[in-house]
Amino acid sequence: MASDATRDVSMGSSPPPVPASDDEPKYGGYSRFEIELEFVQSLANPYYLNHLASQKLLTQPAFIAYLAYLQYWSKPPYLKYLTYPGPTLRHLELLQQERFRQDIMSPDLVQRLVEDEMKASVQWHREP
Amino acid sequence: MDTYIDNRFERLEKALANLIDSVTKYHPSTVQAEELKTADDELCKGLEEVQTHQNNHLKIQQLRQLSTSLDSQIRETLTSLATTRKDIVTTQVTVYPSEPNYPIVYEELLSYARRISKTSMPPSAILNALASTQESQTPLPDSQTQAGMTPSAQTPNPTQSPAPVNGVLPSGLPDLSSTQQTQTSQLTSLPENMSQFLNPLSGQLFFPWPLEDKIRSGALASNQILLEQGIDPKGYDPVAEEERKAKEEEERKEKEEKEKQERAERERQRREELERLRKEDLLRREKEQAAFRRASTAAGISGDAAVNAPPSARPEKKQFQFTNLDDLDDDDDED
Repeated sequence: MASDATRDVSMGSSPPPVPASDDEPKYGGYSRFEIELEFVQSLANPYYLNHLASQKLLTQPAFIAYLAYLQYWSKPPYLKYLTYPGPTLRHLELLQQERFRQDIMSPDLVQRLVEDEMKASVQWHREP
Repeated sequence: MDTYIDNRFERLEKALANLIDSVTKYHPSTVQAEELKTADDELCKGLEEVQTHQNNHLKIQQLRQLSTSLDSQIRETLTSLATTRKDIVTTQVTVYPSEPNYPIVYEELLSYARRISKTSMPPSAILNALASTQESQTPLPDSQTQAGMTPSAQTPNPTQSPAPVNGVLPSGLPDLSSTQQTQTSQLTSLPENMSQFLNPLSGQLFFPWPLEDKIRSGALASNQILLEQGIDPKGYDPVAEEERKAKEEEERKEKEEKEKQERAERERQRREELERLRKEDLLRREKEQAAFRRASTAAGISGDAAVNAPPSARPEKKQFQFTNLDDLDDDDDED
């Protein structure tokens, strides 16, 4: 799915405007902003990462470049649109590493990510 | 200084003794008296000297004290200076990151926090359940651990009622020593099936990321479906497409309506035309008949009637045609 976006949008270009202007081309009725926001947040799901790895997407240079491009979500003004900021940014950061992209194939790592992040979601606000 | 003053004393005493001796011998000598006087003077001078000496001594002592106090002060100042310097050197200075920083709007931050509160933290029901299980898992004899756990388990949610915690306690800790607490907790906690009604969120699962069904119902998935249908999603908007189709449909209907109206209009015009023709015809025929009648009356000859018969027969024929047309017209009206 996401590789389609890499084909259509040149990644050297600046991130999509916020909010999307009317004259922007739409993809199936959605703006680039909406689609990329949705995709970057889907990355928060460890099972989805595993699915992407199993589709051999994480080894494609184009996809890796797309992941690098998606890092603009970690900076304002885009940051505030993330609904799942914790896991989203963590995975986006991890996905920049070659090692992680290979290891996420393993269900053990997926399970560990799931456990870690579930625990973090309960614990983060308790820390002094 | 002692010897100095002692000498003077000795001299005075000696002079005094000599004088007393001479007096006791009833032979006082002026020389000895003079001697005593000078000795006394000397002593007085010596004593004055001693006084200045003592004063000087005191002064020296004072000065020493002053100098030691000043020394200590200097030392203190130096040490404080040193520590201050050390402090200054070791002070953590706020390092402003070289990256561009962004102003944070207070209201924006709050609204963002409100928006992500649902997705970044499990509902309090789950937290409560978690806290109570943590508590029940803590071994009772190890009171220190429990003391350490209890605040962390209860502080996060001040609104949390003690009932759920207590409700878990009897099952988690059957060997609870204080039976009274067990009894009260049994009284305050609801049966599980009832508490579910009170707290519908209790059985909910929480994930800090979008679930598969959400991903499957998103924009990317719908674009994938479009691709599978052989439609390039670029520039294709299902909603706009839908609207376009609806509009086309409407236009088509409108056109049909217009055509129908036009047809009806044409029909009406045709009818009017026929009506007009018929009227003209009728008029013309009447005129002809009148003319014929006039001619016949003017002629007044019966023989001529036979000659003029064909004209009368012609209108008759026309009349027939006319009814025929009229019939047709009627048929049209029925349409």
